[in-house]
Amino acid sequence: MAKTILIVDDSATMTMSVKSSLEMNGFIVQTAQDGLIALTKLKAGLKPDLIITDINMPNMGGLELIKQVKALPGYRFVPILTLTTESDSSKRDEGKRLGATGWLVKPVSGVDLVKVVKQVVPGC
Amino acid sequence: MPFRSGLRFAAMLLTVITMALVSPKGGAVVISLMALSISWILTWILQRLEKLADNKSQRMPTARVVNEVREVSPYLDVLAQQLQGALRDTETGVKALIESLSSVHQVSDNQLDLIRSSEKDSLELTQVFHEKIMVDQQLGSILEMFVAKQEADLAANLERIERLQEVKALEPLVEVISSVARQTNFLAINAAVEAAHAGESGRGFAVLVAEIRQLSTRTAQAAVSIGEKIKAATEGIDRELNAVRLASDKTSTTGNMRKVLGDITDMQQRFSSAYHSTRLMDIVESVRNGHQKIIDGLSGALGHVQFHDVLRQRVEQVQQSLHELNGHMQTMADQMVDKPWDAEGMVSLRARLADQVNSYVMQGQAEAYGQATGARVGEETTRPNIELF
Repeated sequence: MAKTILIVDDSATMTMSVKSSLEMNGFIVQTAQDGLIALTKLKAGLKPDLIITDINMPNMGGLELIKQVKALPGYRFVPILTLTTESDSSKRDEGKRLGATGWLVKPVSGVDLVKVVKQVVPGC
Repeated sequence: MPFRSGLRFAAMLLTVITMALVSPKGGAVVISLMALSISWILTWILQRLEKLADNKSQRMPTARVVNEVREVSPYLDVLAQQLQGALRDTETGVKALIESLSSVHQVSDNQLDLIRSSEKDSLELTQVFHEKIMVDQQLGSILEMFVAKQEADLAANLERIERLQEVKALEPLVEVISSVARQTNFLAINAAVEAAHAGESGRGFAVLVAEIRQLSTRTAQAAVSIGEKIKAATEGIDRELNAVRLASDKTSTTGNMRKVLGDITDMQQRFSSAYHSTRLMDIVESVRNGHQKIIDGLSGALGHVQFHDVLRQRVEQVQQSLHELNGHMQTMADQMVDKPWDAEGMVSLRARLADQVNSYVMQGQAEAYGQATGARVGEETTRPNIELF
């Protein structure tokens, strides 16, 4: 069965490119423009196999989203990858502390991205 | 002097902004050209301001300077809008590119579906081949047995009929009997003549001779009859023999059946060869691998378009800096004409430039700052771009 991935990014081109790349490789992709919209979708019942989120976004950033998702009942073990331009080590460490599965700094090759996704999505 | 110092920091700030615009990896040409234009215009403004600041013979230098500084605002607004427009254009282009790449994938996907469908048909065809080979093998075996039995029967019949031809060996015996009958008749005739010469004493002998002559005549008749019957029998045997020989001829029925059997075997081998051939499966596998390579290539291309998001963030940071620069210059102008000089309350350009570093999120931004100012900022990170915790 195809795995579902939620992409959270305020950049339309990022969302489109990552969505296309993952769909080509057989994944079902949902998108959200910021952390707040993503959280609303999760609370409405969306249960993705993986969340890929940007860090610097309006309304709710990626670090806050990770924190909120990990606190949601039933979502604690959903893997979360960050895909961001943020290269600050302290932010990375903060993401790790909050429970992120991995930290990817843009730009990431599509092939590498799919490889990492297959690595962290259970049963993939 | 404070004003000239401010101009020098403005120059440095403009250089940092220019470097930040020029340096993004993979940046679009239009953005690079825009950056060069900004660099040229800002340098021109700076030169004008420095010239005004150096011109000590000017009667109203402050008013002129203030006027020029006020003109910076629309300049920067236009530049910021131009950058925004360029971002919009590149975003539109990148979106179109992504859609094109997706449509290429769709075409490849459709072809793969067709190949998958062909693969299913091929597997079914292969199964039919397999079943046909089995049926042909059984049919061939049955035909082989039938033909072999028929050939054996024909050979046995031929042998039996050839044995019957031994009847022909009786024909010379008929001639011997006929010859004996003729000689006996001659002897009887001679004996009858001698019996006649003997007169009365030969009368009894004459009766015996007459009997012998009758016996030889009947013997001759019997020999003729036997000869005719043997001839009729041998003619019948010859006809049968010819018929059997004709039947056993290679061009006759069994020969034709052998030919059909050969054709069936040949066709069976061709079917078997096609069944065991992996060429079709190789083609299907090759197309499947080609499709995966297309996906990998498209994924790679889609990864490369992430440059646009990196560029967007750098341009937005530059736009913010231009906005701050404008604000700073307008504050300076305000304090030169409308408000009292507040050296303590006004944030210096040096401080603003230093503060810019805090808004950097990328290593490239810090590197551009370092190239422009000679200062070393940010951390020397050795952490990989992909890090799994």
